[in-house]
Amino acid sequence: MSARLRLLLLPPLAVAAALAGLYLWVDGQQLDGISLFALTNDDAATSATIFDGHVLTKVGEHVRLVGISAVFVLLLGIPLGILLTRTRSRIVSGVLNGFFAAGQAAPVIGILVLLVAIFQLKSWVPYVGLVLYSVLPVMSNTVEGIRNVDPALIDAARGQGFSRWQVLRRVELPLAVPVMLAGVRTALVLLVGTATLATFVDAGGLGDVINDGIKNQRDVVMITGAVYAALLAVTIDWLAAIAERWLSPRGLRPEAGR
Amino acid sequence: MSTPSTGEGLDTSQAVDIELEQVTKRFPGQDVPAVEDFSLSIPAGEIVVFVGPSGCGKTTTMRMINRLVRPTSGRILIGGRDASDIPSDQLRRRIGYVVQQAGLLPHLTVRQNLETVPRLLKWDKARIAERSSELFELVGLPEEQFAQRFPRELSGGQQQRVGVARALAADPPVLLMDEPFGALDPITRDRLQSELVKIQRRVRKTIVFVTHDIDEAIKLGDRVVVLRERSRIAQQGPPDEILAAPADRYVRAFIGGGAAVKRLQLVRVEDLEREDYPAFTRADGYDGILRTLRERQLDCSILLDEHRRPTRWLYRDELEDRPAHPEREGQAISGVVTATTTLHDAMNEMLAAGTGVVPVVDDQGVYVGAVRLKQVLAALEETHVTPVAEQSEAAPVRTIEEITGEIDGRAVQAAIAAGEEEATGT
Repeated sequence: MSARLRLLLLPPLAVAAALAGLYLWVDGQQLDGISLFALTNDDAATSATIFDGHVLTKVGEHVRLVGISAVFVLLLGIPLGILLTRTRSRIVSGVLNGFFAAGQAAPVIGILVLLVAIFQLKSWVPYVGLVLYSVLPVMSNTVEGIRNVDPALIDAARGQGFSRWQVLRRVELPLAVPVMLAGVRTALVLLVGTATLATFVDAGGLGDVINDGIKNQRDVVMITGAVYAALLAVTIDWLAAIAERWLSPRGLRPEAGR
Repeated sequence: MSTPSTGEGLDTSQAVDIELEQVTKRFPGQDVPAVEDFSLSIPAGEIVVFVGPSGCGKTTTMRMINRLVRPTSGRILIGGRDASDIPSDQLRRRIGYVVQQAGLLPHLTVRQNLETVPRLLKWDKARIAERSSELFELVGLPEEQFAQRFPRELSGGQQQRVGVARALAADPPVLLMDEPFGALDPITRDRLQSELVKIQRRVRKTIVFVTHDIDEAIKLGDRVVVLRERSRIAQQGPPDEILAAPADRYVRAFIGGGAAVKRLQLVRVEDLEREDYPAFTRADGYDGILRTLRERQLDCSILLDEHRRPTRWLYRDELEDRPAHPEREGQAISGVVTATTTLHDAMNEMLAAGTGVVPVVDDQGVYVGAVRLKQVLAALEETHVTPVAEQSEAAPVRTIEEITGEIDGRAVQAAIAAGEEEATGT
């Protein structure tokens, strides 16, 4: 088994082990009514596990927050990255880079509060905050990936009669894919973490569980939410690593050589 | 457009002539033009080599033919048509383009690389597949072995074979080659050069070839165009003419020393009489081989494998001393030559092997005979009709540059190049 393959198998095993550990730990705790309600959302509950419907619903909400934001991050980040490689205008690149660097630098919670203050609790508010926060790695990795393509290759393709559009679509983008995917992976992990803040704009997710735990001073609840969020980040990172492996052009993968 | 039916510029696959008329290229922000008032007729079906020191504008000149560089002024006619009338992308799809290190797309297989231009031209699938098979055969790469491989799995020489095949894929009338063999090791380079000559005999394209290597220019060119800075033509003509009568000091310095030896680049193995050098297979058996060697008073022979390809040298004394299996005796054959190998390269192979003989093989690697060092030396004497050395002695005054130029052309080239760099203030 290659070292790479082992690295790909390790995360799901670690996640499974961590979940089992969390389950056993929570199972062994004396849970009072507040904790039971926080984990099950049911007044009559007499017992609770970390696999109760309520917690899993929150995991689902969290995944949806991340997934929808990720789609917009890609739809925004990749075209903007391409635009940045097409323009020589310092103004355009300065404005775009500055805007999204500020988006990443500014605390998400601040942005969310600001958006709510202006637009009230609209359902799109959490997505705007999350997208603004995580476009930068996708955009800058798209730029980096395309700039790293050997100019001699582009020249050879132009010399064969590829139009500029064909060069972009058939040479530059395929060759930039590995670097772009690395950016996507970073963005996804950022999104999983920041999506816990969506609870403050009433958008659900694992932030609800964590926040319940904090507000009610119930560590079991808080830790359950936090561990779930962390494991979700590891899992999504792992899925992205697999996607990176399979979506990268075969001719570029190291194991294609012999 | 004179061919509105297809919208393409050059519908022919027949070689066409190229006419450059007073072409000038000025890059923005540079005082001195990169190419100044360049005029040249390139006859259809010939290899014309632009040769000059780096930075002399030879590549820029070539790149104006497929409009990767737009001329500032002047006209370029390809097959009688003004190239600027043809949309650039259409024009380039009808002009093969080979670059240094092949420039294959690393994420595509060899087959996909070969098929890019026919696909751009929207050929139908059957025609593309048929053409690919022809191309694999033409450049000597077995299709079943190479089609599905990726460029990184190929050696540099194999990559450049694919590069040449790709350029020929759509059967264009014109081929541009920009130092295609510059990054290869000398042995691979020699072989690919010989093969290019062989391929050209089959396809008969108009080829514009750019190099800084005068030996390569002499070896490949039907015509050689020696360029100096700003791509001004110092001399043009057939290679033997340039070797025999360099127009001026610059050309002589560029040719460098050993002009007589260089003329061996102009003669090929096929121009010599092949010797029926003794060769055996295992089937002949030890006794048979030794008997024949004794009868014919020979010291050495060639052992062939089951496909009649040369594998080992066999020496009579060794066979006599140690009657063993002939296939374990002697010495592995390090190099073979083909009909289109130049005598210069054949001599290199002989000297490298230390045998004074080199086996000649056909396209399939099958043994067809051998040539000897003494034949090469005889050919050298024949080509030495107008000794360059005598000519330069006839010149009334010789400068230091001329003398050093004969001693070491490359040093002078380097000095010229360095001087230019200083002059442009880089």
